[in-house]
Amino acid sequence: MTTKALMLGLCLWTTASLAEGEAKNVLALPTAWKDEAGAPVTLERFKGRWYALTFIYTSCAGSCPLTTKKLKRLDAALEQAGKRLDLVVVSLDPSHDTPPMLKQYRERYGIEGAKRWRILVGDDAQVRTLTMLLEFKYTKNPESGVIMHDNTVYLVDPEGSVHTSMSSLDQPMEAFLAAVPTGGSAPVRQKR
Amino acid sequence: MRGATLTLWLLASSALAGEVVSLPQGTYAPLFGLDVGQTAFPLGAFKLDVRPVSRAEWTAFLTKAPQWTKAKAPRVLVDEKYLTTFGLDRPSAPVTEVSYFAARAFCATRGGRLPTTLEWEYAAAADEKRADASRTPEFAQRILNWYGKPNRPDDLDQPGSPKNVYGVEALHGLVWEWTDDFNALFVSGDNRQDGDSNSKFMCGAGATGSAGREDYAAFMRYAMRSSLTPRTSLPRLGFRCAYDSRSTP
Repeated sequence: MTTKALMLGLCLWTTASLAEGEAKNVLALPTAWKDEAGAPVTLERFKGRWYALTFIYTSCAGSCPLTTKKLKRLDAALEQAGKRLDLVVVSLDPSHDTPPMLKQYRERYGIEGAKRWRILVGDDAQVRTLTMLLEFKYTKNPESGVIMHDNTVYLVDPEGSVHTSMSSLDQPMEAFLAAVPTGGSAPVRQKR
Repeated sequence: MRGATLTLWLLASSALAGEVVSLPQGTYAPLFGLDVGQTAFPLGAFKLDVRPVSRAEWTAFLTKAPQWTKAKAPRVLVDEKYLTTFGLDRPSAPVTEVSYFAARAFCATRGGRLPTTLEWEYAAAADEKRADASRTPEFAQRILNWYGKPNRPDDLDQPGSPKNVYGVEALHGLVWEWTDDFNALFVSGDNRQDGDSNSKFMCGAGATGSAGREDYAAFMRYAMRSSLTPRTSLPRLGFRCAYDSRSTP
């Protein structure tokens, strides 16, 4: 019987990642956030613009510093290429990432005055909704508070769909950079 | 005739809805996720539906939330198999072929949410007499017997596992169930591809490094959940709702 169970388990496992043709879209369900000043904001605000989106938490000592540094390199490369892109960073740890913690985070990485960087904080349900829309995995150890998570940066198009993505750790950024259209975060002109 | 059938369904739905039990706070050692030195996670008290959500309850939900009918549900939130065989028959059977997003929307209308994987496994570790029977061979074998049995459509009319010590039914023996963080386990064919390898989840270590090698049934559930996307609909995948301990569903 255990053999049968094993066969079924393997069968289920190999159906993993069923081919899914639909593009992931961050606007498919509404989510509500606060910006660094505590003002309410939704992702609808970014509709009509291209932006990069990723997830970190400020007390993360693992991959988040590398993600932030990669975003800084991306920001500089975009500047050099004459492209503009908002960089939207969503906290995975809303109970800990208070406005003072976000201010410290900006200071730590030298992005105090970087206006294209937007850091958003929601609640756990909002984070779960957005990460599920993107199939971005994370899990929090309820005792230590350490969050194990994916390291993906998404390029979101003006309709909220994911155009492309890259790993923030070990993937070159050239393809991502090339996918950013000239104009980038400039509002897309509406068709008449 | 169809109207009369629907009325009967809605009556059945109201009769079935709202059976919820409270589970006490405790600790639980999940199969994966514990760090070195950790033996269990603390878990707060919560409430849980006694049975998986039924087809009758789902029908009542669709009358209130028509955006989740097969015709209207956005394809970015459901796959092509969503509610494929759903109909007005067998009202007490669990609803299946619903996506994660749809299941979550249903629970929200009840003031609830999907249980976390930790909550679900905590409840499912209990048998009729013990709060944690997960490491006992006869309990594990009972579950594996179900996992090893070929499915037939009329199996969905079966009662599933009897009430456990918390009063929760059919956590085993009927359908797989969505959890709120179903995809939170970092398992892939070879975790080294992700660039942030965790050796606990790599190859053979994924099994031998688990908290309970004897709980093979739990290992299969984790494998099953890892195969899903939030849009997935399957004929044997249903759900039940959880509620915070102080809420009144």
